[in-house]
Amino acid sequence: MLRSGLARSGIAVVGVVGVAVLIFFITRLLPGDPARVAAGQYATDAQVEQLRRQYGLDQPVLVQFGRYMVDFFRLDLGTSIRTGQPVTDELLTRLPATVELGLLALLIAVVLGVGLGVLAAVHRHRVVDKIIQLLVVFASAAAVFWIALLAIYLFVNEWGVFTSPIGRLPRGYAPPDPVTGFYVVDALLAGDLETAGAALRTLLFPAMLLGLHASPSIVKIVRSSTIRALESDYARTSRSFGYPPGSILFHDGLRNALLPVITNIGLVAGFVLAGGNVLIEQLYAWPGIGQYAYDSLQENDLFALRGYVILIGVTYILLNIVLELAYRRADPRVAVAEGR
Amino acid sequence: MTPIDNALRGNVAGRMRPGDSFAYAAFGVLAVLIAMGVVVPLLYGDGDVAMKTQGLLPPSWEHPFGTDRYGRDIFLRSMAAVRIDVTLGFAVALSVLVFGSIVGALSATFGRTVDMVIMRITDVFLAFPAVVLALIITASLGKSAWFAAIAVAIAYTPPMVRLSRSKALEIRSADYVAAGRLSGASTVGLAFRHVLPNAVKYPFVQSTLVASWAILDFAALSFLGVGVQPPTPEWGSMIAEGVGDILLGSWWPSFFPGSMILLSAASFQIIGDWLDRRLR
Amino acid sequence: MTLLSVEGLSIRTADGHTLVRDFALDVNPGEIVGIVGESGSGKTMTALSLLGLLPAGVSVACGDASLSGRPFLRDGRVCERPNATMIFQNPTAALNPTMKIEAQLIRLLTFLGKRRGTGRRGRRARAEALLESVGIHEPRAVLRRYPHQLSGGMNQRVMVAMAVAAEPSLLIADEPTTGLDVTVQAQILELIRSTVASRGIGVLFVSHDMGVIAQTCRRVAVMYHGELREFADVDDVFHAPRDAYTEELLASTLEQPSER
Repeated sequence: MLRSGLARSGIAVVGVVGVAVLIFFITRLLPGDPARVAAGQYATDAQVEQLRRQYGLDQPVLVQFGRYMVDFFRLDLGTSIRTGQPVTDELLTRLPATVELGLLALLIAVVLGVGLGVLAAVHRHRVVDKIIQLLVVFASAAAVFWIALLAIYLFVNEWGVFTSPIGRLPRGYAPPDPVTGFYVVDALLAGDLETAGAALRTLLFPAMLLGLHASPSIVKIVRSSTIRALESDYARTSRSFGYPPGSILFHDGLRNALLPVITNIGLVAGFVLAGGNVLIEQLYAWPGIGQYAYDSLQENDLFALRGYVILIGVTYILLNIVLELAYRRADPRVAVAEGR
Repeated sequence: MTPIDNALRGNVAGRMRPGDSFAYAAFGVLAVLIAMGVVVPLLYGDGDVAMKTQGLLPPSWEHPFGTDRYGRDIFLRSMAAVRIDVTLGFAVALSVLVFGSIVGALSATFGRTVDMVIMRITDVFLAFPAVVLALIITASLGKSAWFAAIAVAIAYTPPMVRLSRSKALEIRSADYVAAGRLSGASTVGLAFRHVLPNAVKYPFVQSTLVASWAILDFAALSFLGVGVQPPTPEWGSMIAEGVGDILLGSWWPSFFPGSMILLSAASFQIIGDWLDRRLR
Repeated sequence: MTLLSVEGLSIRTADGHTLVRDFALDVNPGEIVGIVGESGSGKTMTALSLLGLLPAGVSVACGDASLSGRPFLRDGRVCERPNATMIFQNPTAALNPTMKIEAQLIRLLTFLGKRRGTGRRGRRARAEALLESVGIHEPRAVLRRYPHQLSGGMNQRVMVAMAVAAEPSLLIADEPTTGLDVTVQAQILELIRSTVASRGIGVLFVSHDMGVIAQTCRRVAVMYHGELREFADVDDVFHAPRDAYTEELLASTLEQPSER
């Protein structure tokens, strides 16, 4: 157990270093010129040259790489060209907003994905299943920014269900005292139910879209693993005893079907945190790291964008290690196979 | 017996034949889209007749998709965009298929060291959602449609490498290859007759899905402003141009390009699922 | 009085293939009746159909069956649950991999308790007693295990314990010893025989192995390509087969006596 733990953290370290190296390679060795990009289209050569010196881009690549890696291990992701602030600090201040949105979106995606997946499996090869599969195709073939835009148009402008998306709270509310950084939790801690409600309503809208966007892969995996479990030998044994369908669905179907979901959640979480997030946060003026990435992109701030991408990659690797441990706990077969 | 009981038993009565009709519909939609993308711009131009018509006209007989804020016909622009977006889907799928399969096959063939190095590299790539990877690559190379297309292709290559490698390994160890060796068939002949077709099957299915994802991610990059630059008609950037209008009540400049993305991406996915069932 | 009687049973797939045609058989109380045939002969489908366990895409087309005089299959339709249980080939897969043996037994006993109105008390002790009754010497240790931590033979014992717990009048055993070691195989067969002797239930014993059938059954039904070729005493079938196929099957078995 200890040895496999060490091996696992070894893989994690290699992965994290790999992420840093890959991103350096992309941002520095591809034939782009970060100084030229940062200076903008209309900068003079002298301005570009000045930026190049300022950020050490005139040094040999190896020296730059060495500095970059040393900084990386000191958790220093460089300085934003746009704001002049350390990228690490800026990302960390914005992280709670993204995580709050991401967690609720993940919850929605899992509930939706497991619900629809099980429904499709129970009615497999019949009309309900076909409808769910078609929904899955359309949910995964629709551009998330397009759906979000239409949703804002319908829910805010036409029907007035949600207030217009201008950040984490509607106009007229003050943010609660920061404890966890999650507005809903912080407002509850402060005993301010009204703010908590307003924050939750504001949060719900983008979280629903992000959750919907992330759910198709969960539906697919839950459907196929539930079908496999329901058609398994052990489900047949249960039927031979005449167990009620609910018991078979729960004990034989779900229990065994949800295991693969745990590993899949890693992918979905990475997706929720990053994939659709840049687009959703920008459209909803959500002050998280996705919006930071968008702003950096618009202002040609490659260093800030690079910091964002590194954060995403590292988070994803660490998340997967945690999930693998969780899987080990959940599936007795894996635990035994390795726990000698 | 209750209905759910029947469902759990997988009773025969309520079963439907696996729907090929969806797949035919998808082929039809894609064919019509491509045909329109080729023919419509030839006959009516790409809608870039700014200022001739009034801006933000709602959909009508004359302008089926309405006009945008500059008075350009959204239907004509959407059709002109087929040439970029659907072509891009095919091009990315093809290059990912070819390049990914080659690297995957090399990885499976050339010993442990090469294999391990390639696998570790793909591991690192897989730590990023494809669209994020494509974003940083495009941002580093510079904002242009070509760079965005290349970035999307790079982002989807590593999963393809893994897939074709695992299929190649599976097939290399398969019985009939061994049997062929015993019966004295040449290695090259074997590779072409058995290994290649089987190793290409799954990557091929995967590549139709890549086409779908590529269309979506490319449109996302253009929406973010790093892909196709206005005024070139492209679905993602057309949606971006319509953002201001939709919030003021004109839904059509963004709605129609987005539904084109939906139709084409969904078609590729349905075709992919269908191929997956057929080739198995 | 006959315990189980099956008449005119036919099984078809959704796309029109007939898997079993016009099958008939009867089992007396306290008797072990075999069904023998090579793989694909329809013997397992026949066994599964009696408990409504046919896989998706396969169904009973017509046939009648009754247990202890109560019809449970009328013209191909299940009209009530027969008081029968089943043990399967590959016992390890037949048990839920995510539940400990104890949880699976408790689940069964709770279900049975509810049906009989005997309540939930003493389930744990009953589970232990059940395992002891099928010859498991350390029931507590087994209860704490997951199926994949036990041997195939042990899991089959657990399956027999569960099947017996339901107090059925008929036990259907579908290739219960296939894939087990020869010594374990003998133990399981002995367990089935002693269960029959002590409880007076009937057993329908499905196997591809003439040797096993000969050791276990009084009468045997020989199936070939979905058809019943012969249904007679094992001795008669062995010594004076009336059917050409039976003869072939016997010859092949005698060449390699119950190796599997």
